[in-house]
Amino acid sequence: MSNINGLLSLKLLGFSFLSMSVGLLFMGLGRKVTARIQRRLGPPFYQAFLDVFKAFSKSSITHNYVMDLGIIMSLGGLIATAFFIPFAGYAVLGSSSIVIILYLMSIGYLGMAMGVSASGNPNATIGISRALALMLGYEIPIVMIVMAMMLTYGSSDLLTFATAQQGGFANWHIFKYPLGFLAIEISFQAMLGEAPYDHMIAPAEIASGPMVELSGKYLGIGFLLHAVQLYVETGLIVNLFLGGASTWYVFLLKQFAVYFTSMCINAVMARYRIEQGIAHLWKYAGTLALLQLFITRLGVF
Amino acid sequence: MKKNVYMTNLRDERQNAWEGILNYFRKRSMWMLYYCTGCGAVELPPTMTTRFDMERFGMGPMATPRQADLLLITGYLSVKTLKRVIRSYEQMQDPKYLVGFGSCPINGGIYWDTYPVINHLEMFLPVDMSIAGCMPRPQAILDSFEKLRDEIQEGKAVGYKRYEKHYDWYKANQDKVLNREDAVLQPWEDPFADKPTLEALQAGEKMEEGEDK
Amino acid sequence: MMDFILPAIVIGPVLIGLLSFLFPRKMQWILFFLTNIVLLGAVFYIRDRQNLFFLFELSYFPVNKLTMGMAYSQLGWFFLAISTVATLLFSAFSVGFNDKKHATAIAPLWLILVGASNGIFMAHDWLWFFIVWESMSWTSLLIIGHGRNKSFKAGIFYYLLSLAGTFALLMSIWLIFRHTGNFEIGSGILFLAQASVRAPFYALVVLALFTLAFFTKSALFPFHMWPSLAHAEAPDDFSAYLSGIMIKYGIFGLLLVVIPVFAASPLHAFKAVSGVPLPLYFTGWISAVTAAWGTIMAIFSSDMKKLMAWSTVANVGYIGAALSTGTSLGYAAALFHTANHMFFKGAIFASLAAVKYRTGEREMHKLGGLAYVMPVTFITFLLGIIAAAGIPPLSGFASKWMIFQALFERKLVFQSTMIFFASTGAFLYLFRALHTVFLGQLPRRFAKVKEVGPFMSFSLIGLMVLMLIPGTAPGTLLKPINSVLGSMGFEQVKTGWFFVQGSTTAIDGGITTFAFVLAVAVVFLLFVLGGKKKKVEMLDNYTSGETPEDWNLTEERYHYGNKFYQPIEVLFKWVPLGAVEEKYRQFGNSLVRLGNLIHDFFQGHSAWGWQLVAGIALLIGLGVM
Repeated sequence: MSNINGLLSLKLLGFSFLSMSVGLLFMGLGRKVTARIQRRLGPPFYQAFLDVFKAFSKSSITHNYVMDLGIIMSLGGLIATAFFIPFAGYAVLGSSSIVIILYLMSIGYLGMAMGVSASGNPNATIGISRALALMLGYEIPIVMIVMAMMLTYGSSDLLTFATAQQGGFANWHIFKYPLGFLAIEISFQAMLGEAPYDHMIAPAEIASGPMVELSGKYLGIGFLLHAVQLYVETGLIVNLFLGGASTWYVFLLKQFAVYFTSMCINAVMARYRIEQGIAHLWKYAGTLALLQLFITRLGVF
Repeated sequence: MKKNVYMTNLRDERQNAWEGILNYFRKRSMWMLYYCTGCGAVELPPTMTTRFDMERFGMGPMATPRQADLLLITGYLSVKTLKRVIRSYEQMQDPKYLVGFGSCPINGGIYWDTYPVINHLEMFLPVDMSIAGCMPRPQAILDSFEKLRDEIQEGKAVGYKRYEKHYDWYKANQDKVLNREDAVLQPWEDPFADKPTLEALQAGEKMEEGEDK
Repeated sequence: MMDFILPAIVIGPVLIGLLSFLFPRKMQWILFFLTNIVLLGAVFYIRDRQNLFFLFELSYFPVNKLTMGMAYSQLGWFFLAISTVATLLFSAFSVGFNDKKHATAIAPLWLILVGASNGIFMAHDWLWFFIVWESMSWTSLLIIGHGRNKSFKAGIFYYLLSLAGTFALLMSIWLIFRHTGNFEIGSGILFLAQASVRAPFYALVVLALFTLAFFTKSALFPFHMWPSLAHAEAPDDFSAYLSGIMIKYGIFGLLLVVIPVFAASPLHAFKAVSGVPLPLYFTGWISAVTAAWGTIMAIFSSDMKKLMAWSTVANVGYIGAALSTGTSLGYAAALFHTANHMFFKGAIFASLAAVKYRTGEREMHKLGGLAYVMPVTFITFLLGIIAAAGIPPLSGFASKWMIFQALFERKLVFQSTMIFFASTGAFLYLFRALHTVFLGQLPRRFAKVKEVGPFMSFSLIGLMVLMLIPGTAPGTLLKPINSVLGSMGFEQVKTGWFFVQGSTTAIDGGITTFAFVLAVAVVFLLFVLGGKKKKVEMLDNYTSGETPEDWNLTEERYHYGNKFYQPIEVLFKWVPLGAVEEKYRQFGNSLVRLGNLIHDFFQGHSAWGWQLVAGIALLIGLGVM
């Protein structure tokens, strides 16, 4: 509490725009990647910025105050989560407790869920119910892997995990926790809502789910939400498995590498049914994570 | 019969520098909602996919009218679908653009004398761009989008403002076909014979503008 | 120091309760509220007066010189304080709730219950403990029953389980008394700690009996099903008390007896797994299973009060798991979560009672959209579920975080996984309740519903504050908890007003809240800068271009609420979720069969034949024939 001052506020302001811009950049690049896989030229890499700017310039509708509240809460919560992600070895708040990150992320989802449910469109709620059901699938493997690392280092601070991997490729957790990495890659795909776990959006099925009633700036905030989500989740994986980074461009490159993998999978996969998706997550990601945790636990005994 | 098949342009009165910047973003990021009523929809997949790749220009499909900027009427419109199109158009948020595909939205095309099909889309909704042809090829579609983008930049594509301004006129026209009560298979009479045309309305508008200046 | 303030706190409410039977109903509720205000003053008056007691000698026991009564303890005071604050807010709510239409006659009984509850927290010896424990049980039975058939059945089920617990309690008290010769709690703990070395099996049996008694009260596995019946059928305003405070008696009991014994006895007395005594390790797993089980059942519930009752079961599971770690961090986490759960579950049940007060509806999917007409209730519920889901910056996060820290300290990663599963699942069912009751489409028949009155709003706002403060400044609750830990001889948690040190990392509630507020401010700025917005009505929705009126689409039909998590239900089809209930039912059926047999013997169709056979057998046995 003592270190709250003007400088910290400025830094946080900077970090909030950093997280949004990085995410938007990735979204544009991701569309480019998908386009190249489909042998298209694709949009310019800054397309997501144009989209968001345009969305904010449009007029929009709201159904009630809960919708406004929820939408603001969602992006706010996720940006607050982004503050806890160490960026290139720098934790702006001085703390990067992974339990906070995992729980604080939920407030973003809760806000989004609340906002779009308040629109009164059943498609939105169906999308949310699918997203939450899927959450039950991917959170557990992630937590198990985090706990495996926590067993090794006796700390649940993300920065500790990142600094522990310094000094070359061989120290990266990819090689130390290979099963865990596989599990988290599968979970990550579900976390981002990319194929084969894109039940939440499913445009042809439930009219883009949560986004069905979002217009203008609401949709713009929805895009920013996805952008910050990208920043947070890729940052999480880079810090957990890819050795963090000491310089900002290496960190960004690693983040993009994670997203690139995800986009490649997304471009060539079809969608599971919801219960198949959850079962798949538990069966594969869950088993791998459990094995990893078990192995680590035995090592610690 | 007086026809109003004009690509009318109502220049934005309050066009300023800020609006110009916004227009740049609007033209670079157009999200479409395609109302696949007719055969024109079949031309969209090639326009979107590998060969012509519409996404180059920042155009992409969207799921609901709330999110979209651009409504594509891809082919003929029956009275029944007109009702849905109107609701969808009204649910879209400003600024929004309407593009008619092929000859059917222009003049009814080959269905011009068919009772459930409406002949002139611009009687009911403000059309920002019409693409002639039966059907227009992807090249024609892209060409017209290019033109639409220019018009957006210049602040000419303001159909939504026209709709707002002359809502009574559009509404009356819509009601005329949607709430039609007389039997359909009767000697045909133009229901719009005694209505003021859009040209006349615009002439009045120009006079008003002149007065403003 | 012999003082009459303790009996005033305990017996005072009972007397006022008995007296208030004479008054009309409205007066009863006002009396209830006023008594709680006075109680709050009294409770804070006795704070930190360590040597406060009130004992009377039972001179008619010939053998031993027995005393019975109340004494101040730091642990008891902590429970007393949080429960009094919560009760005051609940009573304010009840004053508003019990108008002409909704009035129940439970106020006098509730007062007696408050007295009994205070008595439990201030107990000095087993005799007194048992007496107030029993009075608490039967009073709550009468309140849950409150003159309705279905409610009474639920009450009976609750009471039978309680009775089983009470027998266990009685037996364990007797087992201790047989050796120590007095009823004092402290000497009992000492005896058990010694016995754990000399006769571990004996100590284990006594502890198991105690644990059984407290588990039945706190609805831990396999007694997890009674809240879903009792909490759901109890009067709506009483459910908050039942779920917030009464479920914690078991936790209090565990902290009073079982935990000190394990703390006092050496680790090798019982075998240890990863630093945890084996029995505690076992209860830890039971708690984790309870948490997961409660969560899954809550996901499948469609009745909002049942859903929240299952959620209570899950939360007690978290608390039990924290207690079972056997670390001071775990005890602190358990106490902290006890307090937080009291407030947030109270808030949730109170807002649901407000909903039922205005709509008279309990099935969630028949409600909807009430947030637009009942904003205060909605915000209370929203904060309640944010706290219950353990999302920062509200109170639930701080305590859940501490529970995880306690589990991490003992490296109980698999239990943590189970708890985390429950915690994620909590997010699911809580959102479901939020959506189906408060969001979505507002049915037309509820369009004219209004916000609740000033008394209820006051109570709801008070509960909101109590959820917000410990989230930002955990020290407000952790400092009193530290003094509890200190008085029990445990290591204290390192904490400031905002800062808490865990086993693997530290958190700062102030900074988390600051970051969140700043981020929201940034987004709010973006939101204001964006294009203008327009309010549209609820049915102006994306309907694939169709006009809702054409299809006779009403708000009720456009509300997605039923079968909310159908995919998960499909996934859990193979899990025998009702197995324990089935076992109880079988047991009940065998009892009935036995009863029928006896009944037949005396009054059945061919009773004379049986009696003849029995008579002859008896005579043979006696050697007459």
